[in-house]
Amino acid sequence: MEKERWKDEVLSSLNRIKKAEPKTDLFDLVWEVSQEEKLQPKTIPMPIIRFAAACLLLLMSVNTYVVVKQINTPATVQSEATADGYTNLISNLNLYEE
Amino acid sequence: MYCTRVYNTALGFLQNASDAEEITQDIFVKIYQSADSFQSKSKISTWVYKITVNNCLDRLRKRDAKRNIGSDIDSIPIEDHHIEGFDHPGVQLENKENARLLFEVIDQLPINQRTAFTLSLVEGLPRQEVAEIMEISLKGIESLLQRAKQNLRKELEKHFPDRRK
Repeated sequence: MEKERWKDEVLSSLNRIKKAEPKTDLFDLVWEVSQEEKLQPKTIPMPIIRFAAACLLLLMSVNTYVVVKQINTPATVQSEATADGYTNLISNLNLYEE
Repeated sequence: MYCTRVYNTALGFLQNASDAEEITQDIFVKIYQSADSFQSKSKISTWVYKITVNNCLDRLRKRDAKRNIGSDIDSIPIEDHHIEGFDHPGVQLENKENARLLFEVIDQLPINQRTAFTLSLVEGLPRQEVAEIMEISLKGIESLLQRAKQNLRKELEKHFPDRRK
C-alpha cells in the first residue's frame, strides 16, 4: 500500500507545474536568421536555366532555317512561273515576217 | 505567444534546457520558412505543436542512436538506459525529487506513450488537442495514456526506496 501511495505521489509530482521561461534573447537569433534569409539573393535552379536555354536555342535554329530557306528559293520559282505561264502564248515575236 | 509553449514542450521531451533552447530556435526558423504551406485545416497551435513534436522526436532518435551505437538496445541493462535526473524549472520545490525520478522513467516509455503523456500531463493540453496533434482518435490517446501510466508504475517499482521496503 505504501508503495502504491508512493507511486501515486511520484506520478502527481508534475501537478501545478509552471511554464519555464526561455532566455529573453532566444527570439533574437530567430529574427537574425530570418533577416539573413531576406538579404540573400534568390537563385534560379540550374535545371530551369538549362531548359530555358535549350528552348531559346531551338527557337533561334528554327527561325534561322526558315530565313535561310526564304533567301535561297525566290529567283528560280519566279522564272519558272513566267515560263510555264506564257510559253505557248507567243512563240514568234516577228510580226512583219514575209 | 508560442515561444514559451514550444520551449516547454521541447523541455518536456528532451529534458535538457540547452537542447530545448536550440531546438526552439530551429523550430521557429522552420515555422518562418514553411509559413506559406500552412493550409488552415487545423488550428495554428496544433500545427505549431506538430512541428515541435516531430522535431523533438527526431532529436531523441538521433540521441538514442548515438547512445546505442554498436549495441542492441534490448541487450543493454536497464541501469545503462539511465540518464542524469532532470530538474524542470517549473516544478514545485516539494516535488523536485519525485519529478526528477518521474522524468527518468518517462524517458523509458515507447515513443507514442511518451508523446501522449508529455503533451497531456506535462504540457497540460486537452486530450482532444493531443489527439489532433498525434493524428489519432481520442480513444487512442486514452489508451496510450493508460498504458503509459501502467508502464511508469512498473518502472517505478525498481526505484522504490530500499528503506521503505
